[in-house]
Amino acid sequence: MQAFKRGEAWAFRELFDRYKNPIYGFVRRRVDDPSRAEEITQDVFLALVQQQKNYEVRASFRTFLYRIALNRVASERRRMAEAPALDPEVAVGGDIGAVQQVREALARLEPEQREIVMLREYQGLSYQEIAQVLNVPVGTVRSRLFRAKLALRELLAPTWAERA
Amino acid sequence: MPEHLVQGEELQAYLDRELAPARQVEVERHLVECKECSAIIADLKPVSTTLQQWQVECAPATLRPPVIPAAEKKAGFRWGRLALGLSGAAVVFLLLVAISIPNLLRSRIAPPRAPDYARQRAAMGTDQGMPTSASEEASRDTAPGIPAVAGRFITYQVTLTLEVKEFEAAKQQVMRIVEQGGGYVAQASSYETPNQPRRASLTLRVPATQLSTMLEQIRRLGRVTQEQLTSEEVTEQVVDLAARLRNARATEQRLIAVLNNRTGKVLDILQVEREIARTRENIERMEAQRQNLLRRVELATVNVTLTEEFKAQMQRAPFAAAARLRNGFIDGCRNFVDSALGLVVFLVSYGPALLFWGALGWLTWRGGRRLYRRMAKPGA
Repeated sequence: MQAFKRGEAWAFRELFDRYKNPIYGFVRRRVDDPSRAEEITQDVFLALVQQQKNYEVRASFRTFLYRIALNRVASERRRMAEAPALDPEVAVGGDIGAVQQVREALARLEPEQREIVMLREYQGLSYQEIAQVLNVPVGTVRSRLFRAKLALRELLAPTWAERA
Repeated sequence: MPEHLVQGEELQAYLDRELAPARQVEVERHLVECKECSAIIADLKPVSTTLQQWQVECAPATLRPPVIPAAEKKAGFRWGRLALGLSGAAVVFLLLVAISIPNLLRSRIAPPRAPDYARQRAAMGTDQGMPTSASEEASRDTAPGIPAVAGRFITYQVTLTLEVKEFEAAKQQVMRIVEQGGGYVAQASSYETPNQPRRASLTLRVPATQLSTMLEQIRRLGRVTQEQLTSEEVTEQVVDLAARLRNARATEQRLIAVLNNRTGKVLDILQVEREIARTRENIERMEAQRQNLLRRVELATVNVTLTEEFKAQMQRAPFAAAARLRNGFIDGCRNFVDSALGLVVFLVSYGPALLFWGALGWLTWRGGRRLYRRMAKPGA
């Protein structure tokens, strides 16, 4: 991290290799167009370079990076003037039917709850990291996540019954 | 029935292993005893599993780090910037030496003398000296008409008090002189009080090159009762500003060249653009200071006070006496009306009571007198 802060090219390349897939995944789940998702991912890393002096080594690099990504996605949403709801046409991997149900269930959550669930489930961030990214207390993350999971359980239970 | 010491949200945190180790053990023990909480855990567990079915593709191979090639050139670029900084510092140093050495030499050869009013007046008369020494370049930069006395920049301020016979005519004439000389009246005010001479205060801004001519013309309008000239040499400030401006402009050009031949990464380009903006702001600020300074040199400030020659105001006395008589008469009338009105009010207020007590007193006195007379008769 210190090498990155000093502006060393190799440090940046290593960080890029390590985080390009998680950040692309983060953007891809929020933006419909894959090529646009790729551009935004590149923007995130460009912003990372521009803001490298703002990064404090003692802080979590992951939260620093995800905050940038979150801001870029928010900018994109404002630019497209679209609702933050997810588009069911987004190309995804896995069982198409199950994925569709998951996406619909997530889309029905409140935006604050959805963001926390997605950061936890798909990015694997700890409660503390989520709190830092979203700038909310850890207790809020915990309670919102619990309520979101209960709501998802209600929304997804019928699909489990069907599959059973 | 086990006691519920576990909050609902702690169950999700337990599943995510986000509780403190001791609390994690406590919740685990609680789950053994509490069927209700165990049921919630059983409900929550498959939610995560289901959510994991939504997977997205990996980042495409076309996704490249945005600035890595430029970042590798950073080391070279930093050397270039260092060289640029050093050369800039060398230029500043040489310029400072060039400015300070002639000043030092001059200060040793000719120690500064106390300001001499007559000498300054003479200098004003022959104000177009040849620019020399350190201020030569600054003189070249100045607008035409800026007086540089022997290569020096001096601001003048004159205070002149005149006693004039024809007050209004003199005031108009001062304004005409200023107008003809290419100056302007910055401020004018007149004062007139009874039994006092009239007074006018004028602040004039006149071209320093015309100062002595115009002062001569103004002096002829009356009798000079007070005159004072003060000057301030601002050569050092003008030269310093000119040098700083030149440096800033050179820096701006170099930064523009760096920007045009951009080979560094985006962050460096942004840095250069910020530097250009900062340098331009400095240039504009210094240019405004320089213009202000030169305007002060170009236009001298003359504060003229015109006082009317005092004349005895004999003709005003009769008018004052008549006015006083008139005022006295009016006051007398007012006093008469006031006293009459006061008497009426008194009678209205106390009349009934006075009438009653007066009648009572009169009857008593009369009765008493009758009684006295009867008693005084010899046959009684």
